[in-house]
Amino acid sequence: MRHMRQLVLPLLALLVLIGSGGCGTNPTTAPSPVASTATVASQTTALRFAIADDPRSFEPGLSVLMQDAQLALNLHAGLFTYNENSELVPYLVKSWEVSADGSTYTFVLRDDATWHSGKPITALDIKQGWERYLNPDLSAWGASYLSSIVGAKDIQDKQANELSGVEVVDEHTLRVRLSQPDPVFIYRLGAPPTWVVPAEAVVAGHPNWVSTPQGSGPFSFASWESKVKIVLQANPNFFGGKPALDQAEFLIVPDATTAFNLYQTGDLDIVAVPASELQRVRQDAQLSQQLQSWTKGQLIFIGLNQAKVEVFKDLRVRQAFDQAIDRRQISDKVLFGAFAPATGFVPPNVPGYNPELGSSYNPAQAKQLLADAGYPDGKDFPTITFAALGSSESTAAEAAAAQLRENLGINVEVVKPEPSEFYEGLRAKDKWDMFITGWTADFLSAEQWLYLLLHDGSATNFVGYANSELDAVVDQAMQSSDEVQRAELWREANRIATEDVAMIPFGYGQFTYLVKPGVTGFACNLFMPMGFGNVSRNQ
Amino acid sequence: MLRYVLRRSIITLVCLIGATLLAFLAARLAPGDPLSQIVGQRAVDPAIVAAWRERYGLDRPVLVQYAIFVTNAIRGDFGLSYQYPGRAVVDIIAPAALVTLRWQSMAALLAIGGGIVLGMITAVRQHSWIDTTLTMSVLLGVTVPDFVIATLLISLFALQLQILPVAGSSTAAHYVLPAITLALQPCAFMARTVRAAMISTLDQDYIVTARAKGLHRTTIVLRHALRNACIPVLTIVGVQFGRILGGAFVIETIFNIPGLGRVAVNAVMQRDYPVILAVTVLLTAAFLLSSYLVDLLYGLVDPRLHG
Repeated sequence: MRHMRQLVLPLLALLVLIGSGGCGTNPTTAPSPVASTATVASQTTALRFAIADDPRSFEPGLSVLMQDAQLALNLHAGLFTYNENSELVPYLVKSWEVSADGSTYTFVLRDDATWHSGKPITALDIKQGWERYLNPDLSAWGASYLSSIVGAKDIQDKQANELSGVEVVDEHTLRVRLSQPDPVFIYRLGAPPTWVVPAEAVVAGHPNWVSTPQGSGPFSFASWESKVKIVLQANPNFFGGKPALDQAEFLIVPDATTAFNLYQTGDLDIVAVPASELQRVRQDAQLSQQLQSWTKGQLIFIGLNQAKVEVFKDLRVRQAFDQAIDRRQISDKVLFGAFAPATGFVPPNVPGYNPELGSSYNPAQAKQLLADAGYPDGKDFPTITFAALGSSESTAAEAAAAQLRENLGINVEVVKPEPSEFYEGLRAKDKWDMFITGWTADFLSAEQWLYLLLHDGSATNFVGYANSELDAVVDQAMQSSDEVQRAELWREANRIATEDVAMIPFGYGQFTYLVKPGVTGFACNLFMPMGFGNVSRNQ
Repeated sequence: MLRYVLRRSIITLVCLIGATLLAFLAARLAPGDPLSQIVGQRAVDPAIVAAWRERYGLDRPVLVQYAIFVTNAIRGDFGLSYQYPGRAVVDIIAPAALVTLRWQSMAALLAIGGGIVLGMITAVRQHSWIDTTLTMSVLLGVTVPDFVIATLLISLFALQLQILPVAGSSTAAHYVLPAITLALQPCAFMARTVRAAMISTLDQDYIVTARAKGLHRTTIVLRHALRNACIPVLTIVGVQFGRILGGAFVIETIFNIPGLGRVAVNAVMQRDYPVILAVTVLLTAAFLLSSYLVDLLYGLVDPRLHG
């Protein structure tokens, strides 16, 4: 056995050598791209938060993913933003005016706002930033938010380089003309995809832009270790005041359960709770005290694809499906409260929301409705392919399918395609008979559900639903510059769509986070977790 | 020998090209395209879609795309990632490959070293309590999937005892649990193989002769029996190397290791073709190289093969 030890000990030594050979702290071996511009002080107040992946881009106009937007809220600033109550508030803008016809906006920028480089933010920076986003070569998603500006289409069609509808009146004044009145134009400007970056950093060409982004937000870029973490440091010159935190660390953790484990071991200060862990967290004496929830501007809905399945054109069939699914039971017992049961197409806290709408679970009535439509006990009803994306949605789909089989006697097959296949099927409208997915707001307007999902002229009306009465009310709402009247019109549109079961509004999403004791000021609005400018943490 | 090396090199190259072609076609035949994934449910201007496809060459015929890929890959240029605009694929996978190499070397050493040591002990102490215990453990190691082992190890060592990190890659300690997870199954296979080979070798006449000459038992085992018992071990090493490479996909995700497996899983989900292809080339090359080295090692361990 002495010889065995002789063999084993060098082996263990070798293992330690290999393991320690390149781990972590040696910058020469750290995965690139690493662009460190700051030395981390030994006593810093840092907040550690998990994001799912490297950002697609640090440039807000190119952001499409949740992690892009979360970074954008900390690194960048736009003309407007949304506060904790999801109200639109001026950000880079000091004041603004709208012309009587609602088609011209004049914005006066703050004169104390600077880029992270220290250079003042000017009206020209905003104009050039928007011109950059509208250039189709960049494929910026922010372009769709700006398309109502005069001259936007010319840039998109490569007929012009300059955005003719935007006039730089003086260094801090910007005049924007719209091709038609757009009452929610400034609401779009509160969304990060319209926020711009310093012109000289990208317009003049900056080879390191990808790894050394600049912005104007409460935090500036410090370092990025790809697939490991991104570190932002407090911007002492931020026009909104220096953040209480010295640093915000974004650990890149794709797996929600791994992130949850990291929170438990103290490696994260804030973590989104996976639906699978919600019940355990609620029952845990310690963790339940750290649980915080906010309403999310998200509608989870079940699409009944009328473009593919003829029987879904029959209101009685749609009503039967609607009333055969027990949202409350699925939400409470299957998903442990990950969603709140939906009553209509507009989530709470959004103008147009109405808690009085919606049908209740009534399997007997559902069965009768299906019989009235010519399918007693589900006889001869076509087999339905029910597609689901996402773990919670898949679980919900399984439960809903089971209820449909039991209550209506029909055959429902649940499929779980990969994201790209799922989205392609939605667009083509020829693959999924029925599907469940979520639709989250980017800015505060019910048009994001009632127009985008249900209007006959919308490219994202995935179910081929057409209702001229609804379309008329939606069109009216989108043109109305009177906020009270607009909210009333959205309520009416919501009522029409819900009563006609345009789709099945299934649930309203929620942000559910665990927040360590000592961390204060963390909050989510309807759209996403707020930037960390107001967050503080005890040492 | 030169002819042998030349023949092996040509076979290796053909396999490499074949693997990339298969990966190329598989990625494109799979339902869903990269733009659908990136755009999600949004409505996007057709001009943006067209510009995007043109920029990445996706508007060209598939075979032309493949030809361009091969031409560029020979120069070491794997193009730009779809999911991270402006980032070269090489910049994404090179650091990830180093991370994977680091922790998988640890796992490979654990598997080989542990397998040989356990195999020898169980062969020498046949039917003892050590043999029975290890046989049971080996059976568990072989049958329990990686993700279950990983979950159990995390639960015990990271969450309950809190003596090892739960996930991450910043210190050597972060690699211990993933390396053990990955090493368990090949270690179990190795131990079973070494045990069988050793038992068979220990019955040989030359071992009996060595004992009769009064050689110490440990000397007989280590110097005479082990060398012959190593031949089947090499076969297992060759086979298990592929499994170890494949193991990165699940384990790196669970332990949040920024290695090639995590990059590959993400790339597949996002339909990031250039990254998928680059990872395929790298993993195939690694596997082929390991097979090549194992073949050469056969010759060193077993002199009969020289003839």
